[in-house]
Amino acid sequence: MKKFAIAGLLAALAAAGIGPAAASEVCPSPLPNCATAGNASLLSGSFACVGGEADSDGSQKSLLPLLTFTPVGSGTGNLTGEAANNSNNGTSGTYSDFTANTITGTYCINADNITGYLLPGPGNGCPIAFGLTSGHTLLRLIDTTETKETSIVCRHQ
Amino acid sequence: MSKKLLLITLAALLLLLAPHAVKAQTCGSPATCSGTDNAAAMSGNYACIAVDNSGNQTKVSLTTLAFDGGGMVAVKSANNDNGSTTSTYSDFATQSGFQYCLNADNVTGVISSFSGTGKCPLTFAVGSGGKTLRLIGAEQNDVHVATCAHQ
Repeated sequence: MKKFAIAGLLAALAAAGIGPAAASEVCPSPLPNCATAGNASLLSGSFACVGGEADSDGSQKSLLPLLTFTPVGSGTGNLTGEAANNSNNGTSGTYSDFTANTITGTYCINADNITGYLLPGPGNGCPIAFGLTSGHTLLRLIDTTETKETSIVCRHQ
Repeated sequence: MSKKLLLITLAALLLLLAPHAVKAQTCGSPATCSGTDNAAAMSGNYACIAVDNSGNQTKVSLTTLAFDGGGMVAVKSANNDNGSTTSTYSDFATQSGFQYCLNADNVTGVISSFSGTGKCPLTFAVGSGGKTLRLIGAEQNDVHVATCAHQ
């Protein structure tokens, strides 16, 4: 089983391998992170998500991540999950199933208790910005990886 | 100044101004509320995902909107796109100077920037008893769609 971290989230979510971020993937500098500490327990439990990604080369991907959040401290927590994805890049074997794409990382939430980031481990991709709404049952995500336009919407199980 | 010189000067001025006219953002019209403004009936925080497609480039935004119940809305947005430049992501940043109005139907309304910012209005519809918000941009030749949920 391939193990990715968050980048895996999207990308991960996106394809396969997240180990170190692909050479072509560039993260913002400085890396986005929470500036204040909110209530991490507001984001907990499992979410089912669906989204899409468009790269600068014109390729597109569909993403179906399942994410589980476990609060651990002030404004932070752990993230695990898995994702299925598919793309239209013209090669065979574009579909990747859940079991091939596990996700690990952490998350933080700002004091506004709305915005935050999913955070990959070092070398495992770029942060993913989120917005939490609807009594903490809806999560909206965008990837911060440069030249990659990705949006995902998740609902609590 | 002779009439001929005046015409030449006028033509030169028009040429200088022409490029700016082409680049200016063109907004659809009308994109305003009419009648009684029920802005007081709308308040609270929303988080949105917006997709903007202009030409061949797509931009996605994660935006928070805080309606104050008095016609002002605070906007904070993070953006990314699939352009070929090396730096496409911009982190959450506050954008000031936005106001809103809500029509008497308590469903439709407009978010607009103060005059001089050059940004076109966003037309919205409230749904699910205020729990959801859907918006489109009024800029000509630009497809901008956003869906939001109340905090």
